[in-house]
Amino acid sequence: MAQGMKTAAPATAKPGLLRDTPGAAWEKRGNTLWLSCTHCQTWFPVSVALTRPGATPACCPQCHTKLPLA
Amino acid sequence: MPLRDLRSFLADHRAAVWEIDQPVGLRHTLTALQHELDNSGRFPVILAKRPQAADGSPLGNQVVTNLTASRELTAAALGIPDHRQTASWFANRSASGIDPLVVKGADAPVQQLVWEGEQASLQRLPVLTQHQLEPGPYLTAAHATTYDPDTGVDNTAIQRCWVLGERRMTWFPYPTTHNMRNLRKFWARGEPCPVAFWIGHHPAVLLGSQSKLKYPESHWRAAGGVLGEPLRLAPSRLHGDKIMVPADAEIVIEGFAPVDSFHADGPFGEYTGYLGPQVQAPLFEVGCITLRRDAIYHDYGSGLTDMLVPDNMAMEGKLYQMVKAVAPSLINVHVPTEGRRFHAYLQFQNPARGEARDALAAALAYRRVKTVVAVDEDVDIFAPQSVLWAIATRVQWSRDGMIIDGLSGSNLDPSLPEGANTASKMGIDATLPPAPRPGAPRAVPPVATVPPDSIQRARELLAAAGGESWPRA
Repeated sequence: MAQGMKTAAPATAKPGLLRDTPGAAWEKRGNTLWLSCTHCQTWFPVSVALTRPGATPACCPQCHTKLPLA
Repeated sequence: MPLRDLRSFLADHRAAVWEIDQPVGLRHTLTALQHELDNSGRFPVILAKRPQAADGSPLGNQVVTNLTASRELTAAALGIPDHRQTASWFANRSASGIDPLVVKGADAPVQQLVWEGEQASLQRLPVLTQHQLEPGPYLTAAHATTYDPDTGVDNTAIQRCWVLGERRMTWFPYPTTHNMRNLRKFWARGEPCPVAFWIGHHPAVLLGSQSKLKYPESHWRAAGGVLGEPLRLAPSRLHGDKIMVPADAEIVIEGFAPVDSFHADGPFGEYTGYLGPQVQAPLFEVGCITLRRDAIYHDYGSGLTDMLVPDNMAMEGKLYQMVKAVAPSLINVHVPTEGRRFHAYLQFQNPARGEARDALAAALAYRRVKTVVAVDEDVDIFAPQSVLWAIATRVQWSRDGMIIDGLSGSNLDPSLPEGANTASKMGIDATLPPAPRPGAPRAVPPVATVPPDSIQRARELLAAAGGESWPRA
């Protein structure tokens, strides 16, 4: 395996959460964490801070369902 | 001198204002109008006289937006004769400052009406929902004023607020901001943080209030400096003289951020042209709303020229101060809206060897700036084709490109690697080499030009042709 390469993780790291797969430093990767609403399936970008312990629940911008991630 | 406020500005520049008499929807439609105007290079101030709520019902107050989309008009509002001279003008005026003038509440137009109790509803205001995927209406031109409980010194910054209900909204001061420092100090004492949000004023006050200052330092002096006269302040209704508010603003929302209370906030359209992710933001509870009898609600088109122009002009002033300190041959700075807030162009007059690169390094220290280009005085830093010509013809990348990793950057930059806390930045030295000896020509090919009398004759011929365009219809 070339230096810097990592085994690709599944695209969905946690139910409802989607992030780019890891890879080599010289390959372009997206930096955005997406969340899918469990109620209306709207996808929206969330900060990783909302997944940390004690964080306030995410809130679907479409239907305003509270989505705890911490 | 007559008072200078939002309505005096609108009256003075009637020809630049597009008054829309028909109903316009606050959910997306008004912002869509701004996108269309931006895309076609037209920048009128928009005054929506009959704003319409999402359910079609009319709202009482007029909405002004695109107030600062025109760089020329914004410069005129500041009293700058030519918008190209913003950098040095802004650096001098915001540094000099003028002390504010305190007036009684009875003399403050912004306190003509006071909404308290159940009357104090955010939903009575014509607040826009701008972009798809935003969760609801946002205050985008609300200047949050707080104070440092240790020193009593106030601080003001534009910070977005998502209207959650009649008397509740989020308030998002970025974690490194001075307002967030004040909030944390109050919360550490177990006390709610007092805040007053003021909306709507003369563009000079809006720009002056955005001056980048140390902590703690009040913005009122800098606002007066940019306005060119003392800013009139009045004690807020709820917080008294601990939080003063501009007497000639249009609307003030007063209340508290309760201790350790947060809510999700966003996604929200940012200056990058992308939506920033949903974050955690403090909650704010409304105590009262004061306003003029016929208050005009001000909205900034977030991520649009309307919001880029004023902040970029203030950035030019700050960059001029930072760079001039290390590069005396600097003569001008431009932060072009097409680069959002990531690009800066520096212009020099006969820089000494090494000076342009010193300047590039200094400018790259500005957190949001990611690419800086240094050019000579024959390059027009307000014309993208001129800057690109200099890059195309005066740069050898291994010699003139400068890449520095690990500098502070904006975490809203969509190109950052995941988890990165710093940015990779680039300086481009697109200046010509100095002449081999004083008075001699530079050892580079001469620029192809025509004599001034020929240019004059050409302009006369074009003028005689009138508005003709080719091919003829």
